[in-house]
Amino acid sequence: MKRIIAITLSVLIFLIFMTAFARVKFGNIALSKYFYFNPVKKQMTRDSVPSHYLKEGIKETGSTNIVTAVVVDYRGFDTLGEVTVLFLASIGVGALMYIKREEKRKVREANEIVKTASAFLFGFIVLFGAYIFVHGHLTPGGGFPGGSVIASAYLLLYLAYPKYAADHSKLSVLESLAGLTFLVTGLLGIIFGGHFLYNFLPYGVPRYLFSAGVIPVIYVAVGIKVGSELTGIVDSMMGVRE
Amino acid sequence: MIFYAASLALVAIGIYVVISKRNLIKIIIGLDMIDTGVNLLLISIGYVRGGTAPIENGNYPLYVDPIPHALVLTAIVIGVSVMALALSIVIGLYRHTGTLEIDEIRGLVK
Amino acid sequence: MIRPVLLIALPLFFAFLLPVIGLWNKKGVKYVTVGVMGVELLLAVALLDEVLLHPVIDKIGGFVPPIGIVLMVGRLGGFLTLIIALSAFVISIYNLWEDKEPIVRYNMLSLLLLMGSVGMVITGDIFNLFVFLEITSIASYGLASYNRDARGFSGAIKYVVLGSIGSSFVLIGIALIYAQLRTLNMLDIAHRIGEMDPYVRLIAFTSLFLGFGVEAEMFPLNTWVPGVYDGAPNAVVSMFASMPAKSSIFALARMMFTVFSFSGFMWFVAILGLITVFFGEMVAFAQDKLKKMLAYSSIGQMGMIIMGLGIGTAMSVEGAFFQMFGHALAKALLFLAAGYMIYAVKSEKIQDMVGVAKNPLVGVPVVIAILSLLGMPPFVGFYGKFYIVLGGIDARAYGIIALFLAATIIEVVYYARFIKVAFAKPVREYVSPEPVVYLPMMVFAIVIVVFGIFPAPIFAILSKVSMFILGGI
Repeated sequence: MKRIIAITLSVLIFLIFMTAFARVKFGNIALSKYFYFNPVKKQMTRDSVPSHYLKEGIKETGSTNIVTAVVVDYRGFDTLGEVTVLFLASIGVGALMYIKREEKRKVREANEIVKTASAFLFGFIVLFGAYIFVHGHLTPGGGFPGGSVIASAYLLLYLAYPKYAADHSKLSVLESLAGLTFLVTGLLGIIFGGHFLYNFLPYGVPRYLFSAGVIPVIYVAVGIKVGSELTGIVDSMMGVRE
Repeated sequence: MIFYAASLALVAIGIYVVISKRNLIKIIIGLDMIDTGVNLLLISIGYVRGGTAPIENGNYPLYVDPIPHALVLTAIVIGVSVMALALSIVIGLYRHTGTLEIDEIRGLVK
Repeated sequence: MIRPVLLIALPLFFAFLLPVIGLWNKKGVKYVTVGVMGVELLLAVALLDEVLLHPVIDKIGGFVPPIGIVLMVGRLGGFLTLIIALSAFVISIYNLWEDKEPIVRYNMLSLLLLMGSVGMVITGDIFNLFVFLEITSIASYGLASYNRDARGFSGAIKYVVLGSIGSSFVLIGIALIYAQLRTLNMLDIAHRIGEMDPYVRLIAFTSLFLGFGVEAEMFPLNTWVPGVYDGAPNAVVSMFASMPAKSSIFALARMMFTVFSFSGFMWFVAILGLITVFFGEMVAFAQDKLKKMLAYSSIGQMGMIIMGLGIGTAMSVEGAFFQMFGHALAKALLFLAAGYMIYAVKSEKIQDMVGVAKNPLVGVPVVIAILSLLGMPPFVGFYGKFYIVLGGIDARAYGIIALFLAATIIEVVYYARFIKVAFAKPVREYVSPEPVVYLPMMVFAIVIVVFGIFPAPIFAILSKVSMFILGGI
């Protein structure tokens, strides 16, 4: 009975949304034709938001990766919200997995290949992750994939050496400081530029590492934060082991 | 068009799994499928035929829409956070009741 | 010149700082939270003060609106921000009573819940609204399961599943809007909404409506409410009754009036609101546990607000906002009182609570809250119900109003039943409430009485409601 309801409901939802999306064009769109309305000046413009980003992105933000320009500079507030969401997940998992009495679990060691390889690869993976988030404004990637790669290096260590435990309080302090860096950069934007998250550092020359103003600073903070957060989540979920 | 259909099919299958399955881990996998389907949907909206990745390189004249990429970056991270929290609630529930079937849990909690 | 961004940056700053403070002094973080929420309340008052003169628009990053994100606060937004900040501050004083292990994380989650709710009210961009909805939801998921027992967890997992599906629906709605208009700013969408295909517009609105309706406790998506309200700690339930639900209903109002520019009577919304009221009141009547009764009664009140928004005339929307004000205060008070009562009687059933409210420190606020919820004249709740009914008569929706009044009679019956038990002669001595317990309740009660007798300031704030309905900020 439940199965019949489930099947009818999912087929119904699929059909309703499909008929709506059938009227949405796919692929053959001219991005510059969707003119936008400026609510502050109350006039229509002869340009669209995406093509504005693509045309003026480098000039207004200094970063060649337009997705990074959108994520960190134009819509940086959403990224701040996203960083908060990840922070909430880490707090939530830490709070829910909190048990007063120390309940240790017995775990088995991994085999030799995994142990040796992960000890060898750990440094390279962390380096690769750091490379991804430091170059966020030049190449695809940025803070979030970079941080995840770093967390995966720690995950590899957890799998290979089950008794290994990262220092939770240090991780939590690192995560708080990285988050504060992002927020303080935004607040400094009010002092130096008049608006929250204003890009107040010099833009430099595009395509160079030291360019794009505040964007690399924010992405480094985000990368460190995400790495330490995901490691903390993995650590909380594994519980206490001996 | 097939991209829209495939993503919406993922969403529909995910909804089916969430409603009809009894094991909590399967329900959470269904939630993850719904999130993945919606993210795929958002990305396929931004496609421009003949466009390349929105990184300035001076060779290609046409770029894909960069906004859906930014939206999906945020949506994926939010999905991960919800999954992490849901899984930790399931772990806590398992520690207290010893089972993962929703019928048994409903009976035990009454 | 106050910047709305500060209302969001302040709780976030201290939420990041609390682990560092906690390393140094764990018990002290409670007082830090109370202080921060107090400052937030002052900021909200300053914001309301400015908003009464002109709508405040804050450009994030210095970019012009559709290119960057804006925060837009109008009179109604400023009013709701004040309600949310006031409830958060008063409840944080109640939190000084009992410690919820682990302390630091509890306070961080409360601060972030406040930040998310305020953010949902003041933002002017639909994807930013989604991000703040997620912040609010995830903070609620964490807080709902804070008791870490089987009941709390089972309520929370239902909430997570439904809330997550709701957010996915919101995201599909945003995808539909973006695909046709290529913009994410609310005023820009409102101006160009005619360019959308009508069928796509309808589906987008329905998807967004159902998505926000989960958090706004609308029928049939509110099956999570009783489980969560029962299994979560009491101060947390007070927070849930005042903060996330009100912001989600405001998000619904933004969708209906500002973005999609619907005006006039909306059958779909009003009927759903009415069904929610009936569902809430009838099931509340059959409950014997206090917290579940209050939870279902909350569902009924939310339905009332949604119905008021759906009827769409200026009077009914004014009534809906009055009802938001009254319900946030009264329900938060009742849940705090319920926390004390359950602690004093050591049972959750209503029939065991004989005479627990005889102590005037508890009894007077409880009676004031209940009378306000029922809509009695010298209290704030009266204006809420009265104006919704007037608005309904104005829109000639006589059937809906008649059914609505029938549902309120059921409400009177079960609250009267509770009052009869709680105010009877006590069978034994009950432990007296501490100041951090009865002071918050008195603050809420005083506000209910003061604005019930002098509603003029609230009417002055809500006076431009008709502009909001026609698509303003």
